[in-house]
Amino acid sequence: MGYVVLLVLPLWNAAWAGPGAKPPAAAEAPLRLGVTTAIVYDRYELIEDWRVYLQRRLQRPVQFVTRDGYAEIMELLKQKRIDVAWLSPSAYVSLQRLHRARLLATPIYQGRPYSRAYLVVAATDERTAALTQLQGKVFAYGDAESFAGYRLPRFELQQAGLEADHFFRKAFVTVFDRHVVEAVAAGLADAGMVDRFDWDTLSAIQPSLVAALRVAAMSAEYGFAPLVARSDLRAADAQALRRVLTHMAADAQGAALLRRLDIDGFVADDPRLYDSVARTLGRPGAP
Amino acid sequence: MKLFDLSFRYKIPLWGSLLMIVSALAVSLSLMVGDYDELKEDMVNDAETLGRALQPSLFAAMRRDDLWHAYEIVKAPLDGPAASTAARADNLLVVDQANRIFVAARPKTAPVLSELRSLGPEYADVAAGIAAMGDGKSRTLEFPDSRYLYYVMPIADHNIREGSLIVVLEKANLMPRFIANAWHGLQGGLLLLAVLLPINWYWAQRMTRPLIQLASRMEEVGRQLPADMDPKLYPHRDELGRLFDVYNQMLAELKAKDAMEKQMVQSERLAALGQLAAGVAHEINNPLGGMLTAIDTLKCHSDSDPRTLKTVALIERGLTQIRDTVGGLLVEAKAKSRDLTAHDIEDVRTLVMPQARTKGLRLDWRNGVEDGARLPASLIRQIMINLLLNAIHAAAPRGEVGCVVGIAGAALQLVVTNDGSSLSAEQMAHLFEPFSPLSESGHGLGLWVTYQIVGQLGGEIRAEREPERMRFRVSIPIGSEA
Repeated sequence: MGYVVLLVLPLWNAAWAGPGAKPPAAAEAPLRLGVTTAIVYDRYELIEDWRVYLQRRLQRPVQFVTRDGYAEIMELLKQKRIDVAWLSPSAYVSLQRLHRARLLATPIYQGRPYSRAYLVVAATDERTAALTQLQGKVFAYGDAESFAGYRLPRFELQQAGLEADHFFRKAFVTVFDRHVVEAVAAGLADAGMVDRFDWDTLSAIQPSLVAALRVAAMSAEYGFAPLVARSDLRAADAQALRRVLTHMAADAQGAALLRRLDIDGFVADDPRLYDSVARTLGRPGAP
Repeated sequence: MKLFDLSFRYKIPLWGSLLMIVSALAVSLSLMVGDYDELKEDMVNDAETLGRALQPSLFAAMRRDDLWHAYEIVKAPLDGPAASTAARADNLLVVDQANRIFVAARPKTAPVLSELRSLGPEYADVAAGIAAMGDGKSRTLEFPDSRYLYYVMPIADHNIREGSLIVVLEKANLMPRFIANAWHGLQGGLLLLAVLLPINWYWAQRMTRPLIQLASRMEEVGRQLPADMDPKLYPHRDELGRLFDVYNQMLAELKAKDAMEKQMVQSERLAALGQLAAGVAHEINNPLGGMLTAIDTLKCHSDSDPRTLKTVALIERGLTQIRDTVGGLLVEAKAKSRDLTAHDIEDVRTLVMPQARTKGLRLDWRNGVEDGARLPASLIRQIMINLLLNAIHAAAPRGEVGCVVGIAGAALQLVVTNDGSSLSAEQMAHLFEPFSPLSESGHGLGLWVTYQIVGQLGGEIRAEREPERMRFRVSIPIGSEA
């Protein structure tokens, strides 16, 4: 009886994987994806499920590399220790300018591949309506490589002719963008800017945290944090992954994963989505 | 009634209980105070452990000006499960060298970059305390009437100092543990009291019951003679036991004195009666003798008519009766008599035996006189006959009469008992008086005469009353003459 089960199980597995599916070749190098824990909100089980899904779809080993900040992920990409990364819009633009990365796909959030930055203040602060009103306050930045949490507020102050380093009485960086929300909620900082995606996610999983907060201002739309490939990744590999990502919404498992990731799906590369982001980084080649 | 006038019955147990409760409370209180200090020390030790654990990473964070990291460091002890001890910190503050807030675990209570002394008067004192520290050592700051303790530790690496960590400890956090400990202590104390108080009560009752009885007996002295103390009430030989002895001794002496007084009164009365009777008898005897002689003469030398003779005979009988009566009253044991022999005693027996037999009595006769004695035989016989006839008369039908006679201590001892119904105290008081109402037949002079004879022989007669038994005890010194 035991032998029968042992024989039947592999057969059943093969049948479930679909026609033409075959186990990944052991010798084949894995596709390595780098993400920050910020994006997945410590949902490691979700990453594992997604890895299994991608591995099956791509029919090759997939490996996720998790790091605490964009800077580390960017460094791994530069060193070719990962093949693909989920980066902030500004981190993508910086790497793209260095010809180190190419756009792979952009997530669709609430129907569009865009996001916004929210200026978050305490609910008791009813006066603040713009970043420029926060002179002499304590400001919380997110990841130094994040767009909404760091690049955008500094750019906005610069546009208003203000010196970002001296405008606030005190400004400090946190590890993840969601820490900006925590810092403002705790009263550690008077204000901070955060990506709409982070705000919405926190609203869903930690409603008590955002209840005492208020969105004082919103930025214009910019391209959603993209998945990028290192510039020298084989075109076929990039193309295969892009196809899997853009078709995730089409099958039930992919759709379930997307729901858990709180996005609708992925669209293929369109670098123009990040033009506004590129403007905030100044002209190409500038430090 | 004042508290101090209470009976020992209540005062001793109350004082004892009060002392026990006060000492139990005092011991508990001192333990509790010690316990509180210990808990406080524990709390400070916990704060020190916490400070030592946080200090290096805080130093690094301050060095990098990494506010967020510092915040995460100080926030963790307040949120983490490890902080659920009684000594959990209420707040952690990190100040820079200028005593401005670098970060606080509760930023709303201490905003970033605010001056420490601006946070409140207590914090101003803390700031002054930090300024006074100087030596780079940790210390605990406590202010009177404050709800908090402040444990201050420098954030430094060797000689480089970045600022200070202030662990704010709420004293109220000690209370649940303190109350739990105090409750345990209290339970122990109550248990102890539950054992000791009944013992105290029992012991006090044991001590006070004899005292109370003694006091109430002493109060009776003067009004009447109180009863003896129950020797089982307090058998011990301490001061109280000795007090009992002294009391009993005093009581015995009082009783003896009382009995002696009664006896003296009785004998004085009888003596007075005797004198009176003798006087009256002499005064009557002189004319009576004349009258009887006259009548005698009249009878011999007259030829009166029978009617006169009848009258004279009537007068003679009356006078003779008066003479007999007076003669009975006037006991004069002057007649010279021979000495008493053992035969005299046996003669008495023979004489009273028929009377005893008529009543069906048993006569318990013990004659201890063998050789005779120098005593007037006729008077002794009269005494014995009087007493025995009285006893036979008083004895219950088919009862018993005892007669013990012997010589002891140079005196003749005679004891006559009978088992008749006993006499009342009133009857006893007038027992030896003449014309006794006890005497249903005769003059009621038997005991009077006996008493007079015994008295004239220098002896003593006593009547003793026992339940269902009457005893006459006679003692006559040998060699005495009336």
